[in-house]
Amino acid sequence: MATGQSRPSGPASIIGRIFNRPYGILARDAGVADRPPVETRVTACRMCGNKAWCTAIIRIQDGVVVGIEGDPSNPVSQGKLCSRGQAAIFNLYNPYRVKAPMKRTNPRKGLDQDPGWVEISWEEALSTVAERLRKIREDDPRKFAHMWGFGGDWWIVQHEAFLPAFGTPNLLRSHGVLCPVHYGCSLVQGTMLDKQDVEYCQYLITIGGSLGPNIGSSHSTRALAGARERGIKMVVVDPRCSHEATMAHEWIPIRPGTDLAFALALLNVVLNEVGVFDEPFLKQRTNAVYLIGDDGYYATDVATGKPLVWDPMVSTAKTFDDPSARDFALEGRYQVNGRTLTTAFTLVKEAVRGYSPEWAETITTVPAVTVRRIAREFVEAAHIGETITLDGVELPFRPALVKGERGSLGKFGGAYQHLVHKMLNMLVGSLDVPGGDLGSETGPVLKPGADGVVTPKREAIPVPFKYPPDVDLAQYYPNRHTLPHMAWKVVLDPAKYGVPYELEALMIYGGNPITNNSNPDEAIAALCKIPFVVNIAYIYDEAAELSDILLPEPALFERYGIQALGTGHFVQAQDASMLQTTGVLARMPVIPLQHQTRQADDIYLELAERVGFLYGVGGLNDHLNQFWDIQDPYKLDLDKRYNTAEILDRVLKSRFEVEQGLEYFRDSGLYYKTRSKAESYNYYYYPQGTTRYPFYFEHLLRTGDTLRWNLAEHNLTIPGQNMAEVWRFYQAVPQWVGRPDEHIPAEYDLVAMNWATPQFRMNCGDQTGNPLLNEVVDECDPYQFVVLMNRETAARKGLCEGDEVIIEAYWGGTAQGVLKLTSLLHPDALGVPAIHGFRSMHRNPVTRRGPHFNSLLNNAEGTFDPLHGGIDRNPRVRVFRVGAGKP
Amino acid sequence: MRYGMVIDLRKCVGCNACTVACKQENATPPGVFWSKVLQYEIGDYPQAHLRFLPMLCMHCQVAPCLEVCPTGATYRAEGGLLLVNDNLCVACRYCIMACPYEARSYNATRPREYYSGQGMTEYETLGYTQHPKGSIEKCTFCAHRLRVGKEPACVATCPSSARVFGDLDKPESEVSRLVASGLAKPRLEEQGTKPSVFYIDEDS
Repeated sequence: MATGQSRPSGPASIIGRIFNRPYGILARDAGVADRPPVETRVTACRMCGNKAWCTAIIRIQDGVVVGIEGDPSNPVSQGKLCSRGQAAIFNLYNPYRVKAPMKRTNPRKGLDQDPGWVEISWEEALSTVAERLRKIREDDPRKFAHMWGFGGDWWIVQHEAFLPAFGTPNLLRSHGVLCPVHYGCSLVQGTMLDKQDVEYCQYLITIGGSLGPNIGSSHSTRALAGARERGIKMVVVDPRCSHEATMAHEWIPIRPGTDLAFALALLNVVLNEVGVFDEPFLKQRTNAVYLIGDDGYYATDVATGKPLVWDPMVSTAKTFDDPSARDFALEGRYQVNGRTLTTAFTLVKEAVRGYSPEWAETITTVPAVTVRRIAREFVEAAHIGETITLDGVELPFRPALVKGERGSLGKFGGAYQHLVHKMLNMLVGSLDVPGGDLGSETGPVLKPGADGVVTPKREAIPVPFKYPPDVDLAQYYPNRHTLPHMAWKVVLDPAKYGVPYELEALMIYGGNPITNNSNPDEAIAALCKIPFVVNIAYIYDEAAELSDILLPEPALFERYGIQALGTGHFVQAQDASMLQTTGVLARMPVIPLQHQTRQADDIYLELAERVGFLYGVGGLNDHLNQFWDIQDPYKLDLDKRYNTAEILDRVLKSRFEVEQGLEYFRDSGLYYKTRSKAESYNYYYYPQGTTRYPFYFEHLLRTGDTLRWNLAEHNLTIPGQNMAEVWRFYQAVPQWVGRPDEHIPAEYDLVAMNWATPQFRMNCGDQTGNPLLNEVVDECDPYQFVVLMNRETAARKGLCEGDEVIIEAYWGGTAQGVLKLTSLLHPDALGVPAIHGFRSMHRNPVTRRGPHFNSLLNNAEGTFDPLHGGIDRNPRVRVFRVGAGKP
Repeated sequence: MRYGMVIDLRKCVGCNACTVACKQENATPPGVFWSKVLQYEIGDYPQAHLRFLPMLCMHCQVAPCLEVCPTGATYRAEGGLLLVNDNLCVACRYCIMACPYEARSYNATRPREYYSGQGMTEYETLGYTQHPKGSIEKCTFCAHRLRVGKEPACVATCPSSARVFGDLDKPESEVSRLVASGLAKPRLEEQGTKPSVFYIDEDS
């Protein structure tokens, strides 16, 4: 191709012609030589760490992976691959990987201690671990806990099968305290997450969350690009002008940590000022019309126990499903059998009346006039009453929605925040219909219970009470997302928390609870206290450095994995191509093992066999059959020894109906089916008149009262908590709960905040240690690795661009970094992006640079949300120059 | 046939998938960027926002680098591509100075390893055979991919489809239509380089 048809010009080139060989011959293809022949394999990526559906083609030359690109045959990723996926080759060839099983020889533990790792054989490693576990199991299986992180997200032998087979309830997660984003949709829509229909949405308010571009999600960025071409109006409520705020129709700067006040004011304005909402939706499709007694509970029919509503046409209370009811009273107080009953809607209206935009402005700095305008725009944009016909099916059309994510939900009051977002969407009827806020799982999830309301699922199902509680106190925080912070407190002082045993062993897979949550010193102390810690490790991260045995696992091209095509944190903004696609991603190794690693699932199977809980009824095989719902003829024989590939094959055939099983994925990364447009909305399965969403959260009230009763029965309070404060979070109508650091000295005048970046998100796959990502960020993104402060705020404080600063949280944690001044940040905000400042001595030293945001956070009782268990991500801090001394 | 690219700045979200894709596809050593995205802010709070500007070799029709090259290492290839013959390049760096888009890089020494002090990975060892010491290098519009009917790596991977690639000599191609409409304009037009890369401004 490159035949050098043009002669070079310029006098210097004459010299070239004289002294060099004839131009035409050498120039052919020089510099762009044909690449040597390669083998291509398809695989699934997942360098983002979380449930994206990207498949990739890797190129292998002489056994070396020399290239990776997106898979054009994937209907959702469409050949795109984000910056992390493009950097995945280094994930494979990372010299800082754990390359063989390792044993600690230095008994002293601490991040300043060299563990003295020596390589051991797999036999020694597995027999050591198995022996310890066997002894614990004989003594008291509860003394073994397992902690799982996103690094293990695609495994087949899930810990929900492994742990019950072992016999311990202590199933922990390494993460989640900063992203408790599930309660609202679990309770309202019956799903684990929510997703946004950007195929049809026209007005999308984001409060503390990303639709894709901020976090470099390839699918959602693609989906949003299409939406922007269709003219979607984005309103981004965020203390910083992010990538999405930049492209938005409107950026609304807000003081960090105050989103609940903003949302409540919005709710108040729609309810009590605008006064326009989707009445048919509220009357027929929510419990807003249910009659509530003084006790806050549904008033129920004596005969049937069903909740009552008021039929204004005949002035009588009827059961909610009485076919003779011709209308439902949305508002009012009514006398029924000597009781004054109030409609839930009226209770909500009255409860939020005090949250005026003026009140909110004093907390959020968002002008009252803006709140009023946004409320009006939102209601107008929702096209209340309109329908759309998709695939011949008529569905309500509501192209307006409010979405939040961990920026607003990860805080003290964050569970209420999530509920308020749902209430706003309910006011315009935009749940689970085209253009709106959709539950993440598709199907008949809106099935109502006996009370006519969508059955709560997932994290809205309270953990059944028991005493003593499990090691993470899940029973005391029954709607929790995850509670590793509680586990550490219990390990350090079990007597205080009423746990009658001490953990003897902890196994960690795929997570770093030391650096990725809060209070690292507490986590370190707890980990050091547990006598035996096993880590299925990719690198020598902080948790690994405190472990006793490391079992190295393969990198992403070397391993098996499975993932249903569902909604994960990365695939929330969805267009039609995503909404309509269902199926499964699986991968098999496409490159031989580079080191002496072993598939994690095989490790679990091996340990189960050695310890004695693999076979028979109640064994791991049995639990795997149950977890994956494996049916005959694929059901695992309870007494047979399978390996990962065999189990994966059966799961694919049985649960996901992939006829060729694992073999299908030799040449294809994705197995998918396309459902119709109409079937992509959960409204389809439970249309008008067949179910009701909770607009009034009686279930939450009941959960709180049940917890209160259970605690009283055992003469308990939740250790460390002021119980009056806890009960504030268990009300049927969300309320403002203040800020946990409201009354601290004014010198802590800034509010810190964190965000994920397109390169560094949760640090999965050692993103921070990936040299390609580091280099590109250094070259192209001046807003990473720094501490960000508003330009004028810095001027007032006498701080300058490039200053080395110390950030001190009121709670005592500190972080350090280089200051960058910007106009893109709220004056009260201090931005500390991504996660940096790692401390392990055996990981890539480049991970040490940059500030460690998580050190600024606090997990003490009274500062985290007792409903979802998540800690507050917006601590008040003060900042001063290094060497300047404290002000 | 004249290869051309249009970059729609209304769609670019500054994710740098293109930057990493280029480095990975072409195995460029540390410090060498054939394609990158500039990121900056404009305005004062609260009327401030981010801007992104993907930059690469513009494969100019009137190329300063071609004019100044003393050895003929820089040459015009099929499709209007500007390429570098590293056998002829003597690394005088005249082209680096001449290029108004700062598109060229120079490998002064053997490429350094990505994992400092840890040696080269196999990927690097194989990849750096394409990056000889003492040569100037730059974006080739992924000529090796064009040859087999694929788009440049940056174009293929952009999640927003902000980059469009095609034949500027074909009036019906998307790149031609965008340029003809006046929506897509080159940078530094006053330099007279007649680039083959055009940009649609954010405010269009």
